[in-house]
Amino acid sequence: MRWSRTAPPRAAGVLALLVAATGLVGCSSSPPREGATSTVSPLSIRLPLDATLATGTGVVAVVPMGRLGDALNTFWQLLFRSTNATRWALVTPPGVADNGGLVVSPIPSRGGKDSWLAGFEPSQALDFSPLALSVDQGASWSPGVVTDGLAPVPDALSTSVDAGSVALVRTRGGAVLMSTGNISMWSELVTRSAIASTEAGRSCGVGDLTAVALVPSRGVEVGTACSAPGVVGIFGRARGSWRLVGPRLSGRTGAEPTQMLRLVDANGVTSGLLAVGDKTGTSLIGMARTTGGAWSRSAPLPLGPGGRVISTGVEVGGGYVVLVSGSNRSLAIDTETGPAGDWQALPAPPPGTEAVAVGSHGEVDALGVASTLLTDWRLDASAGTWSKIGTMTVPIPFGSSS
Amino acid sequence: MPGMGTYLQTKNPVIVSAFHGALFHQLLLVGLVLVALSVVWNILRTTQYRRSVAAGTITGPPATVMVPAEPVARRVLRVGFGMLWILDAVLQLQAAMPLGLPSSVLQPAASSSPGWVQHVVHFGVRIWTDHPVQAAAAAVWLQLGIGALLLLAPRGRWSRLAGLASIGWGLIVWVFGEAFGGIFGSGASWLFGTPGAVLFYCLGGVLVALPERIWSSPRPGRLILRALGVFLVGMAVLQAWPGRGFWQGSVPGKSPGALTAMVRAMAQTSQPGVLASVVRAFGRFDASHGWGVNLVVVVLLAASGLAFCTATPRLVRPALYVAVVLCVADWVLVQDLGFLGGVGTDPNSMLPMALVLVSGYLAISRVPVGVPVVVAADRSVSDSDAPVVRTRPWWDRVAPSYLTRVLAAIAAIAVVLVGAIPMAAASVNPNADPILAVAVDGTPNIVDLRAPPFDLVDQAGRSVSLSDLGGKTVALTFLDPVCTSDCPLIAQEFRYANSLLGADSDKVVFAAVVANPIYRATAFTNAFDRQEGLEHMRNWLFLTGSLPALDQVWENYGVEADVVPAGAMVDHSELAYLIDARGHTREVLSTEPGNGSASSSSFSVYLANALRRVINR
Repeated sequence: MRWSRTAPPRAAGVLALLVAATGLVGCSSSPPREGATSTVSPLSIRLPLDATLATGTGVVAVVPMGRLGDALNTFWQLLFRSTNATRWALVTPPGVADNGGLVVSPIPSRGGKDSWLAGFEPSQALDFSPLALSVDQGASWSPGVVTDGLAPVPDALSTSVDAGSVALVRTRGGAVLMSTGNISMWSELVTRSAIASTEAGRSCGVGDLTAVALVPSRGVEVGTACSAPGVVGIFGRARGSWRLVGPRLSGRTGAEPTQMLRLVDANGVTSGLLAVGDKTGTSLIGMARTTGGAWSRSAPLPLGPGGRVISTGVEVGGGYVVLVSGSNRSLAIDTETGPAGDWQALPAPPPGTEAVAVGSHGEVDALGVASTLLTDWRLDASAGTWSKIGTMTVPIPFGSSS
Repeated sequence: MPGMGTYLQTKNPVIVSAFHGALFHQLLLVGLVLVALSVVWNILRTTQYRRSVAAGTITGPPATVMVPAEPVARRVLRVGFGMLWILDAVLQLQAAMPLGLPSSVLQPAASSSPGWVQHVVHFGVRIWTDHPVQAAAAAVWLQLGIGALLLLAPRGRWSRLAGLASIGWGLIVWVFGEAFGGIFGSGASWLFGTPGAVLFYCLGGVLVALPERIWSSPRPGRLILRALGVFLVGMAVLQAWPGRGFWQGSVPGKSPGALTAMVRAMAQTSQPGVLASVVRAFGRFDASHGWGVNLVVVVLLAASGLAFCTATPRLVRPALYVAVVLCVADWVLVQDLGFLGGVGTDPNSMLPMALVLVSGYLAISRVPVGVPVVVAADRSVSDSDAPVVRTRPWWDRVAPSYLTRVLAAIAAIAVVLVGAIPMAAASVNPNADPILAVAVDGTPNIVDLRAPPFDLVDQAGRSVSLSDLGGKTVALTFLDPVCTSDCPLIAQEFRYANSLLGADSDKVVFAAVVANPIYRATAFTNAFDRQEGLEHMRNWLFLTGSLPALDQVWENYGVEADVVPAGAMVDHSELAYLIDARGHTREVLSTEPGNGSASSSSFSVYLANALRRVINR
């Protein structure tokens, strides 16, 4: 009893000393920069791999199917619907168990069929990432490999017709690899620690690497989380050094840490989805870079208490559509009116919706999953209702990964 | 096929057959010991007779000494626990014991205990899981031997040794088999067996191992009763403690109380219908009168505990009746006899506890007195507690009954050793019993056929044909380099088998042929090697080639490699061919991994042994 009465002051003193010492260490290793505050923890939002991306020839979607609560019986599917088709086609690359997840990067065609580079996330005993490249919209696939595991983010791969491919991997605390031709040969471009140690990195307070994009005429750009309030973590390489190339937020959002959730080159428009916020709430901001290099951005879309993004989609012009689950498991869809445009709430999708896609004609599809059954719901914008336009039974190989 | 891991059922016929085989072989060994001891007994008795006749003492009068009879309290303990150990040994004979004990008894016993207890118990689980046949058979003989020793050695150092053996094995069972009797777990209750049945076996062992002279006063009896009295009062307090779920029966819309839930669970045990209906009926009664049942238990525990604390025969006697009735009621209605269901190892805590209570009461109420015993003054009766007449030669001193009991005790110790030695060997052997691999994969096909040739490239891009490997024994398997489950396990089994081979590894090449028609380039075999740490294994080859070349090899070796849609890995056969130095296939093994590290380690041992067989042919 005597010990417990005397302990708090002693403990408080020790704690105060520790805090003071920690502050001193922090000051010595990371001197404060103008306009940057490194005392806020960076965001660490885990964005699901459920994603859609529209190109000029159609929409590609990554959707989990099977028993979604059981990782070994959840099989990720790659689906494609060409622009004028009404039905989705199953184009999942074969030969690898994809329980860990799939990511895909389309390479828009110039008049012909799109190419896609798909990557398998590690799972169970597999700790590297097999790849699959298709130049005929999934009719056939060629294998490749990244000998590190791809980062579990939708934009872990990015490709371009001319500049090769980049991959964001989870090893060494996060690193970006580059391949100039053979998708089984990769070399390291940069690591998270290398970016964090640059002047730009210090001013950002780099958290996780969260996206990578190969932007024509600009090269590789890397999305990160930033603990510094208002700093948007998009890094590009210029004159031999990694620099911040994203905008700076101001106003209320300028006082909060950020995390790039998506970063894509959408038909020539660099488009990003940014999360800003703290423990009390998170908002989403759509961003798009104009040809002149300036960034425009949408107004913040608050996710609400307990809200979380369960799927993201990129429209053909670079605007985003998001599927959000509320604290009471209710589903909501918000879409931008064009790149970095205002957010517009759509009617709540049917239960079981796992992904949402906006086609090249502006049509909105909600993809519902019930075990092996995929249901395509189409929004009737005028009536504000969802209509079932098709179903597909996928031969889920239950038990094959157990 | 990958992803279709085999789970061994508790009554897997291979394991059960091996268990029975081990018991039979050990029975033969015990029989041999008994025969040898019978011969020794015969020789000694013949010598004794001849020497006595020669010395003319055959008709001499026996010496008469005054020695106390074995105290009745001690005899109750010795005989009671001897019979309990033998009953436990018989229960260990159940076919489900080798594979069922870890999952159905050891792990559940520790499930509600803190992490460090589970960690300790895991050590025992690992030994049993890795060596199920050896451990299960050893437990039979250990317990049979201890029980026999207790019954056959009523007096002297052999009897005390039996007590010590009971303590030693009892503590092992209490720690690893009962997770310290659940005393560190949540939900501990006297009704459910706290502090563990085997702790009473240990207590009985301690009392048997004590010098017999301590029983000449009522002091040990008082000590026993007071200790158990305090224990019962403590258990009454624990039982009465609010918030532990014992005061409630079953309220609609809420989870049932702790006792109701336990009784309902026990009623599900496989058992005779009559007993199940009795237990279910009590469960229903407790569900509707949970508060009253707990009140009765608390009051009876506390009252009998306080009476035992007085150690006064007048108060202890009625308390003993109450406690024994309560023990029997709990044994039947809550513990459901404890040994049913196929993996019951003992009759739980109530019988041994009642035994100790009765012994305590007898120790304070029936103090032994000396009685004249007409025998030759030998150690068969007196041992260290009685005068010994050493003036006569041994054949005149040693009574035939003493000789018989000594040899019987030696036989019982031999039985203990038949169990203890394999159990000790299992506990220090890091490699699992290869019988597990046989249980998972079946017995290998023994053949002598020329192995189909192949011409492929290794992970470095060098051309490799079967003829290039001439002079070496080849372990050839088929692996998918981007497989997520089985193939990495099989690769690790091969790698470990290589390390088990020691110097013989120079005579062996471990080779895998790619079993994926899409991901078959060396980029994938190299990534796989790096993932599995095989890149520095100098006798490891991961072979691949063009699709036609691989197709030919798969066909020649009877391997299927089918691409499955919708996100599945390639479905391929899991086989290994052991090819001798002349290029002949000698054994074909299934490489399908079982579940858990035990079966994996077991396969490595099995593979290493099989490779040695092929090398030495």
